[in-house]
Amino acid sequence: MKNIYLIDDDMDDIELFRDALEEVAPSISFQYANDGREAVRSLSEKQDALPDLIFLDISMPTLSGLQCLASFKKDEQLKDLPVIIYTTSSQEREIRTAQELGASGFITKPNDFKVLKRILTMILQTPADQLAETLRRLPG
Amino acid sequence: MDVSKPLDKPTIVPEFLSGGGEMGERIRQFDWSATPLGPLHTWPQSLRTCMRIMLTSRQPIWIGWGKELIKLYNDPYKAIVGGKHPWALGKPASVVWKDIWRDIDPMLRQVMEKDEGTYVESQLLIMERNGYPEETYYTFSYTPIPGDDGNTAGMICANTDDTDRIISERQLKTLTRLGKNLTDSKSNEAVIRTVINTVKGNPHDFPFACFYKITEGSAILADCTADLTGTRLPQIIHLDGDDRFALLMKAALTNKQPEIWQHAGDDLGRLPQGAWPIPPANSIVLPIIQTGNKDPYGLLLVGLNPYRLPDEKYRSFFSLLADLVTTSFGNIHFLEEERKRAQALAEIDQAKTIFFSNISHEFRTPLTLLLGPIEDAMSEPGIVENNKARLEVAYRNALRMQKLVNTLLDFSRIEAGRSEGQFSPVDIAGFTAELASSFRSAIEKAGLQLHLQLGPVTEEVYVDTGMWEKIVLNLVSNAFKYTSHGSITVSVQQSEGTVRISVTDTGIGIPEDQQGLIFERFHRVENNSVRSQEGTGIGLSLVKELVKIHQGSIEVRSRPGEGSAFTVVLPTGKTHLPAERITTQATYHLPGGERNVYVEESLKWLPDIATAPYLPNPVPLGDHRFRVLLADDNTDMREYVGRLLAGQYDLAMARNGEEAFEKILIFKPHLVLTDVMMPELDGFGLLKKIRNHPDTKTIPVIFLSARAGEESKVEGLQAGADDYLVKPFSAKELMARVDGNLRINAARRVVEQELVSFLMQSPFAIVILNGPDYIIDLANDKYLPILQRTREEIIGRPLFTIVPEGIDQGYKALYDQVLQTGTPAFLHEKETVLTFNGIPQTVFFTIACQPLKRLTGEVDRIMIVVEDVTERVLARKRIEQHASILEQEVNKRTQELYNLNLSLQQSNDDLRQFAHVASHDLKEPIRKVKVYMGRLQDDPGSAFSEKGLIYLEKVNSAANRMLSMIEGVLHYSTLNSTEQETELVDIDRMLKNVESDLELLIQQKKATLSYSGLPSVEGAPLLLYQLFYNLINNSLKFSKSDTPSIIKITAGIGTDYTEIMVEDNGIGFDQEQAERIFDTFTRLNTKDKYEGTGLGLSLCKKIVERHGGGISASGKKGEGAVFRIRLPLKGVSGHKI
Repeated sequence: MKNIYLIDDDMDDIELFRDALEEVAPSISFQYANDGREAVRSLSEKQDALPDLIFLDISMPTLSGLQCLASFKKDEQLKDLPVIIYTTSSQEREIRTAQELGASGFITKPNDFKVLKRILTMILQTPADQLAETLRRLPG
Repeated sequence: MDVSKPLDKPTIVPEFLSGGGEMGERIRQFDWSATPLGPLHTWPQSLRTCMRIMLTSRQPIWIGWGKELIKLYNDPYKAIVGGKHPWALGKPASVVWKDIWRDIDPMLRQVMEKDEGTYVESQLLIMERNGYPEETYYTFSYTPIPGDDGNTAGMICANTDDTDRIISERQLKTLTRLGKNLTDSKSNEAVIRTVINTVKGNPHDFPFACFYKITEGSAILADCTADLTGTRLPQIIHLDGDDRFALLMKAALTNKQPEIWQHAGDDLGRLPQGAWPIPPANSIVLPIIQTGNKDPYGLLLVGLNPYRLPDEKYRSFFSLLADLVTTSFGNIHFLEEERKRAQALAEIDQAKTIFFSNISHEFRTPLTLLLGPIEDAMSEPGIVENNKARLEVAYRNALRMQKLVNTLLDFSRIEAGRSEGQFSPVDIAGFTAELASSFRSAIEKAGLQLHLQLGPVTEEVYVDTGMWEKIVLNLVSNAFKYTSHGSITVSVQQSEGTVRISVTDTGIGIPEDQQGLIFERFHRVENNSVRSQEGTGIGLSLVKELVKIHQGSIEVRSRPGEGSAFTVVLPTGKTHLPAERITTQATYHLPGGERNVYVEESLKWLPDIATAPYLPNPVPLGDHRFRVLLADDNTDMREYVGRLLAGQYDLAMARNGEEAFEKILIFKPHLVLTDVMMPELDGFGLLKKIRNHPDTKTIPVIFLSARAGEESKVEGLQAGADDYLVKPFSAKELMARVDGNLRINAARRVVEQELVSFLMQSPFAIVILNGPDYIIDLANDKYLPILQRTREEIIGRPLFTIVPEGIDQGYKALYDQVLQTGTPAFLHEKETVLTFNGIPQTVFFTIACQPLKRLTGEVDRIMIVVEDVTERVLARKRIEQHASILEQEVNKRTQELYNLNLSLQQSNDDLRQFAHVASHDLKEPIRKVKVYMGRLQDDPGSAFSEKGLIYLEKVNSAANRMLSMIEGVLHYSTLNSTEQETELVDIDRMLKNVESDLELLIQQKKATLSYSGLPSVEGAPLLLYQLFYNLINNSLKFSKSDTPSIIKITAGIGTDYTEIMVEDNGIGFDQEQAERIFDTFTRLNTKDKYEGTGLGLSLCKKIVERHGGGISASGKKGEGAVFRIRLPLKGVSGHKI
C-alpha cells in the first residue's frame, strides 16, 4: 500500500485521519479532496499515481458520496480501486446502496482517536481481497 | 348643302372668329343673316365668347344657338359629323341629327328649358356619320349658354368619341374570357361548348354564332348561341354541294381564310339579332383548321353586327378568335395522344405482371414432380458416384428454379399490390439471429466466420415474419455469395425510434457507380470473382420492395475489395403501419422449406463439398396400416404421391371431388389428401361434404395446393382442413405431414375418451347438452340429484322437456346465447324454482356454462357445471339480516379510524424524517468533541493541571450524555414510527437475552433476576425486547446502593390477555407520581444521581399501547416498585403494528 485517498468535506476529519495515518503508517502518502466532483476529476486525470485505497464520506453536500462512488465505478481506470465508505451515522439505506454500487465496506467515524488508529491498522494489514471480510467484522 | 357667299363688303375679321382652322374660315365666310342668328356683329357677347372657346379648342365642340339650335362646330368636330360636313353648319340641330334626335332631344330640352347641364358617358348612338347607321359611343355634355338677357340662349356641347375604346374593350373581354375558358376544356365537345357559351355573352359582336363540325365531307351543326327555329340556317351542309352554304364553307376551308357572306338576296328566315333591333346583314365563316392536318375541325358561322362595317379591324378580331379556337383543338388532340400512350404503357405493365404470375403458378406443379423424384433418386442406396453428381446438378438447378419462381411470384404480387403484409410484434434481434444462423454451417464450411451483434432493443418492432425472413435470407445469402474469406456480420441495433439491421461482409464489394443500381430488377454486378454467377438479380430489388412495405429504407455502403454493408432501417412501434394489418399476437414463422431453399443454394456454391440434401429424418410409423385417399386431377401427381405413400399406407385414388367422396364412404380412409383445383368438385367442396356427413366428419383432410401465401393457407384451414401443403413439396415433407396428421387424429380420439371419463368422475355436477334442443348427451352422477331423476330418464332427451320451468326463468335464453355467440357465461347464486312431484322448491344454483367447439370451429354443444348453493345462500341471508345494521356502524368507525391513521402516518413520517436529520446533525459536533477530548486526554505532551483534567472529564461526560440523549430520541422516534411485524414471541427466551445484554450492569448492581412460566405473546419482537430491557434497566438503575437488587418477573394468564409483573426492591417512588412516571422526559430524580434520558419508561408505555395493552406502576417510596403490563395474547400472526 503506497497511498491512500480520502474524500470528505470536513477538514477536521481530514486532519484527524491524516494524523492517525501518520502515527500508524508514516510511509504511506495521503491525499484528499473536499469535494466529490473535484475528487472524480482529479483522480480520472491521474495517469500514474492512482491511490491504492479510497475512503469516501457519503454525507457531503455537493457531489454526494454515492454519486461519487457511482462515477468511480463507471470510470475505466478507477472502477477497480477499493472504496471504503467512511460515515458518521448508520445511514442504513445509504450504506446498502453503497454496497450495491460496489463499495468494499464501510466504517463509522469513531468517537475515539485511538479507535480510529486501531481500525486503520487493521485495514492496512489486510490484503485487498479480504478487505470486505475485515470491514464486516469491525465493531460497528 | 354648301353655302358660301362672299361677303358684301370686306370686313375686318372679328377677334372671336379668328383662327379655328377650316371651320373658322367657313364660319367667317358664312352668311349668317339668312339664319336666325343674324349677321355676326349682332351676335351677343356670350355667343362670341363661346365661339372663341370652340374655335380654339382641340376637343370636338358644337354650339347650338337659339330656339332652333343652329349648329356651329369646330374642326375636330368634323369627324363626328362625318359625311354631313359641311352642310351641317348653320342648320338646325334637329335637322342635322335627325337620326339620333330621339336620343338627344330630351337632353337638349332639359338644357334649354331648365337651364341645367347634362352629361352622358359612352352613350350608344346609332349614328350615320359615314353614310350608314353606325354603332357609336360618345361621351358628351350639354351646357347652357346665357344670352344677354340672362336667359338660356343656346348650348355648347363638348364630345368625346368613345366608340373605338368601347368596342375594343368588349372584344378584348371576349377574347380573354374565351382564352381562359378554353384552358379548362378537355375534349373537342367541350371546346365547342365553351366557344358558343363565351360568345353568347357578347351579343353585340355576335348576334348569333354556330359551330359546324366537319365529318366525312359534311358540316354538321354542333352548337349555336340561339335557337335556330325560324331561321333557314341548315343543320347539315354537304360540302360537295353547290348551294350557297356549301360553296361558302368550301371556299373558307380551301383558302383557309374567313369568308364574308352577304345576306342580301338570300332567304334565311328570321335570323337571331343578338343585342340589336335588326338582324345581321352579313355573316362571317371562320374555318378552324389545324396546321398540317388534313381534316379541319369545323367551321364557325358568326352573324355580324349590323351596325358595323366588316372592316379590317373587325375581321382581325375574328381571326384572333379563330386562332384561339384552333389552338384549343390542337391541345385537345395532343392530350388525347398522351393519354393513349399512358394507357398503352399501363396495359403493357399489367400484361407483364400477369405473365410473371401465371408463369410462376404454372411452374409449381412440375417443380414438385421434378424435385421429389430427384431427391428419391439421390438417396437410393448403391447409387453410382457419377450419377449422384449429375443428379446433384439437376437438383441444384431445380432448387434454383424454385427460388426464382418464388421470387418472381413474390415480386409480381408486390407489383400487383396484392402483397400487403401482416405485421406482428417480434423479437427482432432474436428472430434475425435465428434466420442468419441457418447459414452458419454453410458459412463455416466455407471457412468464413459468422458474427452476430445484437444490441438491446427496448421498443416494439412489428414485421411481417414471412417477408422479414425473405429479407434477411436474401441479404445473408448475397453476402455469402460475394465473400470468399473473412466474415459476415449481422447486427441489430436500436437507435432513436428506429432499429437498424445490418449485414456486413468482407467480400469483393460493389463499385461506386453500381451502388445505386443494385436494387434494380435484374441488375447483376459484373464481376468474375464471385462465388457463383447464379442468382437471379432479382433478390435485392425484392428486398427493397419488402422493406418499403414495412415503411423502412435500405442503404448500402461498400468499398470494392473491402466489403459491403447493407443496412435496413425500420421504424419502431406500429403507428407507421396500417392498423388493419397488425395482429398483436406475436406470430412465429415456422422454419420451413423456404429457408432450406436458400441454405441449400448457398451450400451448393461451396466447391468440393459433398453435402447431402438438407432433409428432415424419416419418421417411423408403428404397426397400423392406415388408409389414405388421394384426390388429384393430375395423373402424374397421383402416380408420384401414390408411389411415395404406397409403401406405408393402403391407398385409394380419385380424380375429382365427387369421385373422391363416393370412394371415401366405401373405403373409409383415415386421412384424405386432396388437391384444391379439380373439376366436378374442388377441394373445398369435397371438404365441405366430408365435414357435413356424420360418418366422415372427423376424417383429417390435407390440402395440396399450388397456391402459396398466407391467405390461401388460412382460407383452407378456416374451411376446416387440418393441414395445408404447398407445391412443390418434398417427399419427406409429405410423409411427415401425413404421418403427423394421422397420429394427431388417433391421439385426439384417445383424449376424447379420457375427457369423458374425467367428466364422469368429477366431484361437480356436469351435464353436456347438444344442439339448440339441448339434448342431454352426457350427465355425471352428481348431476342427477339436481334434476332428481335417474340417468335413464334423462339421457337423450331435451333438457327443457324434463324441466320446462327452466325456460321462463332465463336458462334457455342463457344457453341460447352461449350456443350462438360461443362465449362462456356464468350465473351466480341464481334463484330457481323447480317443481318436483308438483311441489315447487326454491333452490339456488351457481352455474358455469361453457361452449364446446367441434374441430371445424362451430359450437354445437354446451357443457354446464352446476353447484347447488341453496344451503349457503339461505344461511347467509339470515346472517345478513342481522348484520346489516351492525355493518353500518362498523363502516362509520372504520372510516374514522382510517382517517386518523392517515394523519398519524403523516406525522410519523415527518417525525422520523426530522429525527433522522436532526440527530445526525446533532451527533456530528458531539463526536468531534469526544474525539478531540480523547486526543487531549491521551496526548502525553499536554500538560494539564489536575483541575484541567477534571474539566476535560466533565466535558467528556456531558458530551456522552448529549450523545446518548440524541440516540435515545432517535431511537424513540424511529421505533415510534416504523411499522413492526408481529409474531409469536417467547417471553422467557427473550428475557434471557435481555439478561445477557445487561450482564455488566447486573453484575455491578449485584442483582438477581428471576422469572419463569412466562407466556408466549403475539407481538413485535424488537419492541417487546425494548420494553423489558427498559423496565429491567430501570429497576437496576434505581436500585438501592446498599441492597443487592432483586427483580422478579411473573405472569398471570387470562383467556385473551396476560398480565406480567416486574417487581423490584429499589428506591421506589411516591404513588402520586405514578402517572407522571410514564411521561416523556420526566425525571423523578435529580440528574446527577441517576442517569437516564427520561425516555425509557415513556417508551415502554408506547410499546405496550401499540400492542393493544396497558401499563401501570405502583410503588412506595423506599420500598421498590411494581410495574404491571397487560398484553393481548393473540393477534393475527404477521400482522403489522
